[in-house]
Amino acid sequence: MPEAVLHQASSLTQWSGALTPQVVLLASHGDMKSEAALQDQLVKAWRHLGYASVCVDATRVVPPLQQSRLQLLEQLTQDHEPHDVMLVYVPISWLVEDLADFAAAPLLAVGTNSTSVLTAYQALKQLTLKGQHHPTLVPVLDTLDASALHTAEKLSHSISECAQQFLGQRPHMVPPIGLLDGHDISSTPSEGMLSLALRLMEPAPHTAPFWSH
Amino acid sequence: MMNLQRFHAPTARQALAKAKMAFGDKTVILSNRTTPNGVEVMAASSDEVDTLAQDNANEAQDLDAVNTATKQSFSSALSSAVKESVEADAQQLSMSTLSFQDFVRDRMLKRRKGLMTIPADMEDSGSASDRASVGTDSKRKAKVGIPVRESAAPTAAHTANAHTPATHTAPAQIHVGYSDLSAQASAGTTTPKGISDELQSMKALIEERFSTLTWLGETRKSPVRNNLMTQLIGAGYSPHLSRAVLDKLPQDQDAQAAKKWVAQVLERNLKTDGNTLSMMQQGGVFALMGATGVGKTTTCAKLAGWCAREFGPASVGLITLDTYRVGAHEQLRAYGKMMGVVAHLAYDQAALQDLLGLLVNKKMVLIDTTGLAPRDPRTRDLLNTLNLPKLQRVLVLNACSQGEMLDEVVQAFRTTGTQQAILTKTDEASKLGPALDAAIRHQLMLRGVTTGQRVPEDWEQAQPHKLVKQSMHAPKTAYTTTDLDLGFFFSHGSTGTAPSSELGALHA
Repeated sequence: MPEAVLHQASSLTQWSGALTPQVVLLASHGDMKSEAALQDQLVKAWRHLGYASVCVDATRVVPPLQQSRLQLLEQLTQDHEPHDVMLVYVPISWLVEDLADFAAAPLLAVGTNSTSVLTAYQALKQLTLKGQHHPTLVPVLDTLDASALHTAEKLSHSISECAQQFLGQRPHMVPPIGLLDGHDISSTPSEGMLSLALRLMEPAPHTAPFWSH
Repeated sequence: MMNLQRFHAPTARQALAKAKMAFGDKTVILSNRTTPNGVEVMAASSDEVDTLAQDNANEAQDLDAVNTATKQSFSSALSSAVKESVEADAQQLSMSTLSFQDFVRDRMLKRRKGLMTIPADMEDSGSASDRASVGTDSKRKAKVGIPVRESAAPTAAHTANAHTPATHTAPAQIHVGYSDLSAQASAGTTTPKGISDELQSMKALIEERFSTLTWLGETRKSPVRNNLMTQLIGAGYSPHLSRAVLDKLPQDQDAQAAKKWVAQVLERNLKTDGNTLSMMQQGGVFALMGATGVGKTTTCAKLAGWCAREFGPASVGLITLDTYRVGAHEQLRAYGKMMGVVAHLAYDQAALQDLLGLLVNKKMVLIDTTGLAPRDPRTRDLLNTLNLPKLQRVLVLNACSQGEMLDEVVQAFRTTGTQQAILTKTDEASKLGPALDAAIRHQLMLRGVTTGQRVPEDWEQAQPHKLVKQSMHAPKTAYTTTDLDLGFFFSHGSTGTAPSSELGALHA
């Protein structure tokens, strides 16, 4: 952060008070290749933008017997307070069973192979109908060449149409990302990824975390 | 004849007074010069200058009529001359040498007579006596003498060709004569019109100068007015606004009351949101635009900070369109990060619209833009990008800038409707006059004032009383205006540059 900004705006931090990290949910539907690529690139983009981020893999966490999944999430947030953003890789079941009715906006990474598309659609269906969530679909491509982009466009269109016809609402779609983009650590994240990372940092109209309701 | 008089006096003022005694309020000074005994002033009455101008205008109209009539007459004369000469040639094919000479003489006389009838077509514009005196009256020559004088040319030419019976030369010569005639006629109109214009322009100049001198003289006679004028100019207010305000100063006011009156007039004419909702309370989408280095990004952060404090960080949206300045986005993002607000980057109008859709639930969305010089052609592009419904454009003005610069910036970023503005760096400005002057003349709505570098503390809602009071306490420096400098400020150019329309809504 620029020194002058810190000096000029020293009171801003006092005014804004203690900020909890912004929680971003990434729903797991089984396509680990696409989901890992999305995680990598998001973390890289946040780092590039100057935000401290942490990833929590909730698929491998088992809450203690006396603690619900919701309480576990709250605990994780408190543990990572110094961070600006916490990316939680969370199973679909959590979102549907424990976080239903909170109108969250989890990310859903979709690969180009048919298995990924089917599992992503299944997840979308559960999240929308059972969980009352508003997922954001992120197409993940091997490469970002013209033909791949065309495929991604067709894929997005198909899923969107199906969702509209059978689930009653279209998911939010973002421009596709490339798998290889996240592999080179020294490279600058793409414009689209930076834009997505900033969007995900935008707090909801209510400032408190959704599980504190 | 114009009544010009010379007046001699030891000083110019006395000479002017003499002239004024002779011609009254309609005195027009035509020239002045220094003589061994003092000053000589040449003056006339403005009525006579007007009469002369009217005469010249009438002359121009007459000449227009002459030109039209001349064209028609020469056209008919031409056809009749051709017809006549052909018929005569046919009749005289077998004549003797002697009779040929008579024929030539006769034909010459006929031709001359024919051409002499041309001015007769112009009876509407001149009397018979005028036509009779064409050869002697020089003024009349300028009006209708030219065709008569020109009529000699074809005649002489015809005489020169008299030995050859060829008749086709005459029309050609008449045609040439007509062209020359037009040229001469238009030359005749130029000279008096030029003089008239020059006199009118001189008259306007003298009147304005005289009026300014009179006004300045009257101001100097009133110490209160003189002192206030010096103060206003010294505070950085423009001579135009200062004079407009002091012109309405009520008589018989003591110094204190007059100063208070002037301050109140300035306060009344300075539009602010002091009595209404502040930007933060009102909310909405605001785009901050202005010249480079005026403090747009810092002002954005201040506004965001206050809004975040009052309504929470989630109530604020930050967008920057500044993709030009290195580190612009980083700076805004850093401010935003400290208060828990995300600063987004938009490259174009589509991205901006998309982000505005994302931030639709925010109480206040602030858009930081690229700083642009007033003459930068990209200014228009920026204004087009910001041309979105419900987006309010706020001009950020540096209070340290010179008046001319502020005028240029306001003109360059002018938008339809009420132009909102924020005054920055008021703590650094040695004079607030130029900024307040620009705000009054351009009828800007001041939405706030920044008074330092601290974010967000150094932000205030614009208070006319405080600003005007602050402006009237300009420190005394080598640049401070004194009574002696007033004449310089009110020389030609200082008084006539600002469009009068700008001050049309000045409320005294």
